[in-house]
Amino acid sequence: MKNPSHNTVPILEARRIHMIYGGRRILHDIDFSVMPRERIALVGGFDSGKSVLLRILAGLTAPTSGDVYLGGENVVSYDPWGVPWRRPIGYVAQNHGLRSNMTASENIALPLMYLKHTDKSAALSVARTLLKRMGIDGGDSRPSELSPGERGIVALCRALILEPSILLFDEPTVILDVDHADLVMNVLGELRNRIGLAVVGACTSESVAKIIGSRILWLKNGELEEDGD
Amino acid sequence: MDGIGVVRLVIRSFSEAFSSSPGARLCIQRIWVQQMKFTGVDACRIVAVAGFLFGAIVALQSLSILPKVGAAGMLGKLMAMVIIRELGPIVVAFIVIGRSGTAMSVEIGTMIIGGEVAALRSLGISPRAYIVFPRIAGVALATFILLVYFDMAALFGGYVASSMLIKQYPDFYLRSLGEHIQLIDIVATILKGFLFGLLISSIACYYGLRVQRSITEVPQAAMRTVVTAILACLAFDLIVSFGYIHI
Repeated sequence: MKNPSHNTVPILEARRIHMIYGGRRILHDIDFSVMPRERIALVGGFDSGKSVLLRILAGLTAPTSGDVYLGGENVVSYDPWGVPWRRPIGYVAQNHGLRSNMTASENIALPLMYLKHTDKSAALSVARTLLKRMGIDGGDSRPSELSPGERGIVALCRALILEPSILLFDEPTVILDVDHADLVMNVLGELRNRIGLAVVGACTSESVAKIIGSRILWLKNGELEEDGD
Repeated sequence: MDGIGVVRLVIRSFSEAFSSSPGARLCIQRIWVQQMKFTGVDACRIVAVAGFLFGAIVALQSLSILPKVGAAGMLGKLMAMVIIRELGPIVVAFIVIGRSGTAMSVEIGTMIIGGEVAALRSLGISPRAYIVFPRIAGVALATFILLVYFDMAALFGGYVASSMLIKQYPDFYLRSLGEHIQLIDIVATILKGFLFGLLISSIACYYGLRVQRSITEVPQAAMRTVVTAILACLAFDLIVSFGYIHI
């Protein structure tokens, strides 16, 4: 397998992203790229537009102007119900977006069953193993029966189950607060080394940013003001 | 209503579902079965009761007038016309709108607010194939099955009501039904069942998917589904009835 550390082509590139919603400027001239294995923390206040930027990077929201490239392919889509990527990315939303009528392990197993045609029992077994590595046993509970931190971990497992090249995580604080933070970081570290996983995490706190990112981008009033290592 | 948007949603849902991978088809099939159960099987009792009552009411009202004008033998024809051609499809459509149409638009709207649809999209799972297609296909088939149930229960209701009113009547009623129910009545009822189901479910999915940010949009989506689906079914019923008369 190709060693991801030798790859100098960006996994993801955002070029001149502008976003105006309801007459208000949300994002202005955002330009940055994400390299394999890179860990980026996107830090900003509650109204800074970081969640919108992550949704645009995930291909879930179309910017007013600008382009997003995943592996060289422009993936900006104006189809609100379409699939943004030909290959999966890992995206964890702030509200986690777990299917409420499925158990935790069924949520995680769904992409394997749907996209990889994995047998249900095998997919559930893979899901339970990943959950266990993150410090959660069983996985037979429904999302409503889990704590916010546990829901975050389940959503993270689901985002990682297909081993995407990039993980976009909106507010990882909730999972870093629980006892499983080290386990989570270990799994992310292992994926970084093995498949070159890059992580972009959006958070409000600088202390959390230092845990998740080696590179910190500041987002203030929709503009990328600072880019420091 | 954005009619073109609804048609486009149906076409793309079907094309994405049929071009999906074998694993995706299995997952879609599971949801399709669940939808069939919810719309078809779980609603059987209410449809059977409604059908029996409607059949009995139509028979009683008809028998209060028909014998006076010497046309008691026309009850079978009347039942075929009123129940099978018109009342059955419309009543079943209204039950499906109230029960499944609203449930679907609320469920999909809530899924959008809860971020479930965005999560599916980010994973590479098409909401049109995984959420919309099995619901449309499930409701279309279930509505047709419910219609068959309704018609049978209504004709039985008519039989019970007429036999209670006129003692010698039951055999005559059955013979009259047999003589007057034509193949075209059955074809029309099948057509209406499928198409009403298709209309209701596609309208419900469309309004459910149009929910964007706020939870207050969800009941509005349900309300729009009910109003639009009722009008669409009535308009379509009128078109089919026109076609029927000309055949």
